[in-house]
Amino acid sequence: MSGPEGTYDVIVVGGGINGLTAATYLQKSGLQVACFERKLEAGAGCCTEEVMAPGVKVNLCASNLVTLWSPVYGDLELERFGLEMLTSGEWGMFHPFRDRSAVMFNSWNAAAQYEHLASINGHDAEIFKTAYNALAPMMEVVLHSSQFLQATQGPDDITQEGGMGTMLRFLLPEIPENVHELDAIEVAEAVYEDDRIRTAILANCVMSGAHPWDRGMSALMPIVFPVLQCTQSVTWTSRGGSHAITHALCSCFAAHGGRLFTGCPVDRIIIEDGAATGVVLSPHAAFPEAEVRARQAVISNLSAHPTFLQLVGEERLPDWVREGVHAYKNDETVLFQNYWVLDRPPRWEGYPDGLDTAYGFTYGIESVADIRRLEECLETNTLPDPPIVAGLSVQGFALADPTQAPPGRYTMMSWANVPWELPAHGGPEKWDVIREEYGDKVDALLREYNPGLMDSVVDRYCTSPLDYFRKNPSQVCGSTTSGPTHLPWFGTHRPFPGCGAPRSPFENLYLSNAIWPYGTTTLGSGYIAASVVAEDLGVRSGQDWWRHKAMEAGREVLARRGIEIGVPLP
Amino acid sequence: MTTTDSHYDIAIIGAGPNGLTAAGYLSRAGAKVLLADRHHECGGGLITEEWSGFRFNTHAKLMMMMDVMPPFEDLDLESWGCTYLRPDVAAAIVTRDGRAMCFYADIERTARSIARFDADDAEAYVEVMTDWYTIVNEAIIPATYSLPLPLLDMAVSYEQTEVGRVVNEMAEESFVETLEAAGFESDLLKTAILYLGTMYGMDPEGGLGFLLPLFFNRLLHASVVRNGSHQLAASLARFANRNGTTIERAAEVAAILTDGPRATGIRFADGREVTAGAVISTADPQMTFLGLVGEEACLAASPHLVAQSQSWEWESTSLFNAHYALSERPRLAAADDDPDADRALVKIMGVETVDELLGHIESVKAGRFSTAIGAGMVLTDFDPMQAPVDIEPGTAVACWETLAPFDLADGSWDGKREACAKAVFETWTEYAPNLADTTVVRHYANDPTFIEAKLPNMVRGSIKHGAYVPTQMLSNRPNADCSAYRTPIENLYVAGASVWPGGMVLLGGGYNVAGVVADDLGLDRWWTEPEFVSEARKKGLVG
Repeated sequence: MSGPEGTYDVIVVGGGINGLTAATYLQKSGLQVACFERKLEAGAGCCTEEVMAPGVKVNLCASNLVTLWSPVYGDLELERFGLEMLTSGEWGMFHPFRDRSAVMFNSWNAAAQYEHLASINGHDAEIFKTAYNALAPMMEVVLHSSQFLQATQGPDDITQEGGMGTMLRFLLPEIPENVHELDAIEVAEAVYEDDRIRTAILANCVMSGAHPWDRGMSALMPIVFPVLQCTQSVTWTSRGGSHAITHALCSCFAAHGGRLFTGCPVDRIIIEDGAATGVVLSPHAAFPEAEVRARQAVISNLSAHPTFLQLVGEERLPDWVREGVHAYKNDETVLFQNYWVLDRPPRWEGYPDGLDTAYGFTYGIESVADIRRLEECLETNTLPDPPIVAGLSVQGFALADPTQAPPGRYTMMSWANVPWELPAHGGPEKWDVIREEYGDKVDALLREYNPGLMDSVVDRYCTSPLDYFRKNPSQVCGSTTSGPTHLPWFGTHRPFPGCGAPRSPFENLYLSNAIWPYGTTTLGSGYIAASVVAEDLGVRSGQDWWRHKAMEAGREVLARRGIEIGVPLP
Repeated sequence: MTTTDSHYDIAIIGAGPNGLTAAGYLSRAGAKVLLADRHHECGGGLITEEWSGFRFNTHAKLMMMMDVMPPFEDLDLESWGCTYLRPDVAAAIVTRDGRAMCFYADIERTARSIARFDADDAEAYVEVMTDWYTIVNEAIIPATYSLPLPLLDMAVSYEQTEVGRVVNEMAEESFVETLEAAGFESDLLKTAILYLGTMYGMDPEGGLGFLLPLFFNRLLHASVVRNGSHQLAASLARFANRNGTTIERAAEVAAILTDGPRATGIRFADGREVTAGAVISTADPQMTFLGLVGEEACLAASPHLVAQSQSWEWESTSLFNAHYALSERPRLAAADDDPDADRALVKIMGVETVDELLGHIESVKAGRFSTAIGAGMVLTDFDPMQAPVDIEPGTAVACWETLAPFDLADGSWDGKREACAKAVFETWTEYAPNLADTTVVRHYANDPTFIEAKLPNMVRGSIKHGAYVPTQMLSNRPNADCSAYRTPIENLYVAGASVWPGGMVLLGGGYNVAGVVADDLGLDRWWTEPEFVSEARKKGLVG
């Protein structure tokens, strides 16, 4: 056999982690699967490259890995295929203030979290305790049903009276009665007394992809976030960097006989009589213009825009689909990344203990007003100046995994939240022009919080949203979540109402990305796509290995390290 | 903390081209194989990384043997996604006054380009190359994919054939002498041949003259791997995975475990130990024997091993690479003289006479770096997707590669790296004026110290895990006791670039060691020897 010619049961377009997840589940279930990836290496968001000095691993997209909480971790034996998850200290995240105070979020020790909040504000600590004791026992169920089952709710369900918010009110009477009408900022203001606690929590809501100015699920985040952090958000990297997840998935896929073709951009999904029957590769592909057929299904792991407008073809779309896809265009915060190499381990002198070994942090947000400033900047396509770094910042890569930096070197990165468009500069193509200058501003901002840390910087690398897009054109407008994540595209409405994702308006064409849930390293959307396709093709039953539940593997791995999560607070 | 098994039939250290190849053959033969590498990615020198969607091949770029290497067919690499592109125009030497001589795999076609400069040389070229191509095809390529003959046997056996006698004669000559013997007049032609022969660190005044025809011939047949060099490694890895090889990345091996004179397994840097029936090291002899085995265990097995490893000679020159992500490709002014020059894979710039070239190499050996002489390559001319051309048409990736000293006579690379990349770009602009107005989206300067830091087996920025000198070539590589891949330490094998046939992504070491280990372990040699090797064996040209 030479090249990809032939017929497969299933073709997956795009070898990102969700595409690989779907491909591997189906291959392991007995189908013949081929996956075509545009880039040299699969993995899309889980990429690690040495773009700085030799030995400095740069995780250019995914940085805080939550794969341990995924059923995929156990089903696909990712450990056996070389994945080792590692973490640094027990304080996973923190949010420093210019006055050298900080609000910290513990990764598994709820008692320590309670003590810490109590040292700032007793009332707010009690809120945490009540929420934690109410929610922690349900976390497995909530996580599994929200991340690993096909969405059943849309934005209307979630914002109406009697929805999730009202349920939570039953557990936590401090939640305002009209919670379904409020956004996260308003909820935080109503529930918490201390402005630093509010600010830190809201910054972390932004970090985890929620929009504090949205109603619905996002509005509950101020209450849920600290609990999430303590029960299932242990911050991890993997040995060798984020790309190790890709390698483990690829190895598993290959071991079960799956075929991955990298360097193979797909030009077109063949639609015949309304059904997807194959793909045509690009003239630039390793097998130029090859036509490959799928007997049973084509799964697109690209986001909605390239899938429908380019691969299926805009001219083939019914009006309602075309409108739905166009409305899905990303118009929210994207990320500007600074990456630093330090010549000594990160130290936070003058701050509370525990920060030096924490995995990550957010900064540059002193009060709720700064969160509102971010909202305004995004609404008006204005570049935040000074920057706002509610995106994840990580200092723990090399602390958790020494293979990610040469001896004596440590890496650190931060994601500033920025708009894609730069109307004041002449458009998004001007990111190349202002990249280093904006990177300097991020440096200067962090220096205000920790001059010693910035004095230890020996090298820096910046990537703009344009660099993101160039690296992965499926991330339209530099989106890191394969499309917008705010309320109108919640649940069943992602990527557009009526799509039926992971099914699509075309027979045998499925989506494994740009569907609910948002693209993260839980591998949830790939798992859901695999589940639905396997049901539709009748191969789901009898797969004894396909049995893990959310959090199962994570609990086992933590237990091996002597850590128990979800212990009730007295 | 991974749940990797604790016993394997074979543990291979290093997932470079040879380690991956050996893993592929041996796991397909039914062995349970563990392949471990300290880097987070497979491939050793087969590195391709992305800077904002632009791919830089930061080490290996030109593949000399893709069209003849047995693993390509045996391991079905094409179906695992590896394809390669053979440029129509292999090389061009470009003069300061805008002329160009072009080189093709095809002898007659090259002769026509030479004829534009010197009609006699064009005729001589056809005659000389007919001989050179013959020894390369009939003797040296077959020898690459078989065990080396012991030197004495080789001297005797090679006298039996015309081809063998020519190789024997050349083995005593330096590159310069072999070149002079060819009798060309044109300095430009001689410069181009010698440049291609020495661009990967061969000493023009040293011996092993038969390697000049080899390097020249194979660089005219060079290909680039579609997608980037790393694609070759990725395809090898997929084949190995499919056949059950466990690959551990970001997993540094700290020791080869021994019991008396026998290897029993490996220990990782994190303390985990794995036992193995056979251990194959693709590291250099110093790292393998002095570092991983340890002097004591070496002495238990052989009185020579320690001294042999200590005297291993590294190359006297390394490489400097500058990679540029560009808004448009460089266009040579010499394209007006010969449009083919602009289409060449290797564009030699800054040197037009043999004396200049020899002076340059001497100067590099003395620690001086020149930003004025080098080879320009634009891999996106052959494989456009190495730049994000689907979203930004016209963009390109360009690389400048040139010999460089590991130790600079006048200071550290840290202070010079960026300035050198800038100066090199200016040199290139003299030959391709459109570069002046081109946007450089990203660039990366990869100097010899970076090579060593990234690939610790490439000590002093080594290109081939150690010099190609008569004392460590053929059956002397890495030494007379280990050149047949077995070592004095039972169950320990060597297979990296420091073993015959050497570096340059030939996959020869991995291919050859697989046969030896399969025989020793009683595994099925499921592959068949290529006909060109069998033919050479009949003539006594290979071991």
